[in-house]
Amino acid sequence: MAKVRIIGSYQPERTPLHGVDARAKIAFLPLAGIAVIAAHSWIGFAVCLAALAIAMLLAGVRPMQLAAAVRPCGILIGILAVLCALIPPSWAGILRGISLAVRIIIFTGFVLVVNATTTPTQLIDAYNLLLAPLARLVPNATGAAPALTWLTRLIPLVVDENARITAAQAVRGRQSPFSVATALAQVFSARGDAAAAMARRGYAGAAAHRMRVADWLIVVAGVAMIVLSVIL
Amino acid sequence: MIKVEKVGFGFAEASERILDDVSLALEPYERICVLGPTGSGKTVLAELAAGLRAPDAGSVDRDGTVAYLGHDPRAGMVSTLVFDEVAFGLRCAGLSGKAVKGRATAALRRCGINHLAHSSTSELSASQQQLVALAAAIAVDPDFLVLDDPFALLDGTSAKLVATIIDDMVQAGVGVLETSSALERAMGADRTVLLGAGHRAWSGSFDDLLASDELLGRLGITDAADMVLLRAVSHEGFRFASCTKPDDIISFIKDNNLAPRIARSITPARGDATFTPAHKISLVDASVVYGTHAALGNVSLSVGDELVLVAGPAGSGTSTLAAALAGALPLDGGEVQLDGERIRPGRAGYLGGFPKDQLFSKTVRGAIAYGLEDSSKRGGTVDTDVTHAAGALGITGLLDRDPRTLSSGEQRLAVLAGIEALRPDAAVLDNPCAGLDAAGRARVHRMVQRMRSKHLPVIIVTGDVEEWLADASRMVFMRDGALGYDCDGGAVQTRTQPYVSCGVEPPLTVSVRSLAGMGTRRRDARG
Repeated sequence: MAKVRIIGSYQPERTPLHGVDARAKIAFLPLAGIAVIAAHSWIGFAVCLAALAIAMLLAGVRPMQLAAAVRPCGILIGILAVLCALIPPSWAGILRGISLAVRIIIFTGFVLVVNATTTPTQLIDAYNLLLAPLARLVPNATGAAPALTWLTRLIPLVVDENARITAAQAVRGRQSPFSVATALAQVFSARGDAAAAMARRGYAGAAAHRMRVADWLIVVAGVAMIVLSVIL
Repeated sequence: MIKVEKVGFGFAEASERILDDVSLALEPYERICVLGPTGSGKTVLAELAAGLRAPDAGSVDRDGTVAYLGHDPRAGMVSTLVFDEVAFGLRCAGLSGKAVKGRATAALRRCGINHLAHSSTSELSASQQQLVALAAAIAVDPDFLVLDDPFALLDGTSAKLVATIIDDMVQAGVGVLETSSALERAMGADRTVLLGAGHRAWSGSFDDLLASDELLGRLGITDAADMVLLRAVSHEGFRFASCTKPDDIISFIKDNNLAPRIARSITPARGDATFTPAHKISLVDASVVYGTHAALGNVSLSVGDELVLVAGPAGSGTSTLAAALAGALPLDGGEVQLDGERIRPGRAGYLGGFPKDQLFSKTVRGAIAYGLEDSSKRGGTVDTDVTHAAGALGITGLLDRDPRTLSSGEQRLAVLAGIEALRPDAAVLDNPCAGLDAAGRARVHRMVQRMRSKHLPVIIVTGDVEEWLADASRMVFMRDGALGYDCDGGAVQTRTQPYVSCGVEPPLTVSVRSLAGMGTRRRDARG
């Protein structure tokens, strides 16, 4: 049985989604997030799940990898779901809790697909290009690109760091249930390292280029998800 | 030229300056090697010269482009794809797509890793990551190259390749400033600089350094086998010049029929004896697969009352084997056993290739103490054990520091102190002396000797085979995820064949002994 690939790293494969412009994938994420929040029926959830399944297929991401990404946050998701179910205690509350857990898992899946098919440098280039028009209104708007890149990569970075910490704890014979919190703290403290390394090597932004029709289709798919989630 | 003029630097949290009134000038076509004990300021000097830090005092002038390569290749990485990582600097320089592809490919090929172009950087071995970082540095065709102990994590074969690349760059006009914890890196340098307590203590030729007991004593090097060998060849008339290589020394010895005489000065050590083992750690039919790549393929290895060295070329699976043995890496097949039963977590002490990954507590004290309170073998208190272990590894003064602020050598010592305090039943150490000065290496050797005095199994993965050769009971070689030769400790001190057949560069002392026809004293190598 092949080991589940380390989460948090770009998967060096050649899939249809690897060739999509990073700007389209970045734009898709908030659209998918809105669609997931807007879904109010089981048909709506099914649409979002189907979109995720197609995205994972196109990106070569396996269900085991999504499970590995979600597992460290499993306790948190479970606590949130239980709170929803019990406040106030009712069948509607239980359904609310389940739907919250499903929404988090679906959105995590889309984030994982974007990170698996986009290198960190492609992400920061994309954010620079997306923020460049704002530079006319807000000085140094592109300065937010490293932070946004870090936020986009946050889930897989924390999962990867958590895997390192739990392995190190296992060797010492004691595992902490709060390793995710430690992982988050480590990732947070190192958030500027990649940007600093890029600056040292002379990074000064990306060259502008047009998105292709196929790239725009990804954005259209995101909008379609929202529409279907709202009306179904 | 890179001109460093009377620079000074101190960290905010430290009371003393780490560098004070240090000057040096680096010209094109020359390599300067900076040596010094841990804490002498080598890394800071390299960072100041490369422009990664600004000095508190003095000035640094650079007349040309500078590329930097640190001892931790991951620190400067910006991408998770090898080709992307190498091409990054070229893209930033505004080159066309065709030029970027051409130069990046050429750099990867030059470093022998073109086959890894489409691999993930996070799935490479430490040696391979360092080669990627070097490829990224040479791809931009810099005027100057600043290297901070880049050989610390390299296996012997990769180290030879990197040394050749650096020498070729010097001959092509690049100025190279290199810091090192290893004496032999000064061998082919145009100038050697010795740092001591933040000051430039001495500057001169390698011949002069080798001839001075006082200077070698400052580095803590007095009787190392490689130093004895270098002095012996120097005594016979060999002159160390710019770009001198170990192969030049071998040729000199061969051409002048000096092998028997030189070899007598570096007689093999008795090595490690074996008795009844206190414990036995075993890998049974173990496999580890990443995607479609088998990092370990059905490997079985048993270690009892022995010190076993594990060596192999970059990507051969040595670090994966170490992590699997210690239980730090889940297996895809087979199991790890201790004394015939599946191993329980915490029973094998483990030092990984990147000690930073094992330091997740807020302080060094917390990192050493982690897991101790659960140990049923504890006689004294946790605090006593932590203090004792820190003292044994010479890091008492670092106990209240944040592990992330330590140098890589200090981080390595912190993890080793944790192992010392844990009192495990076996130890698996991945390059335990990487980046350490002579004093640090001596402490690690004493720690291993303490474990061996209790007849505990110790497995050491090492790129610097020479460091541990005299202590080894046995040595196993790896290639492509499988075990190759499994040799007696005596055989690997006098024969090059096991190394060569597994793609491992033999240590210089072994090559000389082999030339002299020194046979084994115990069992022959078995493949």
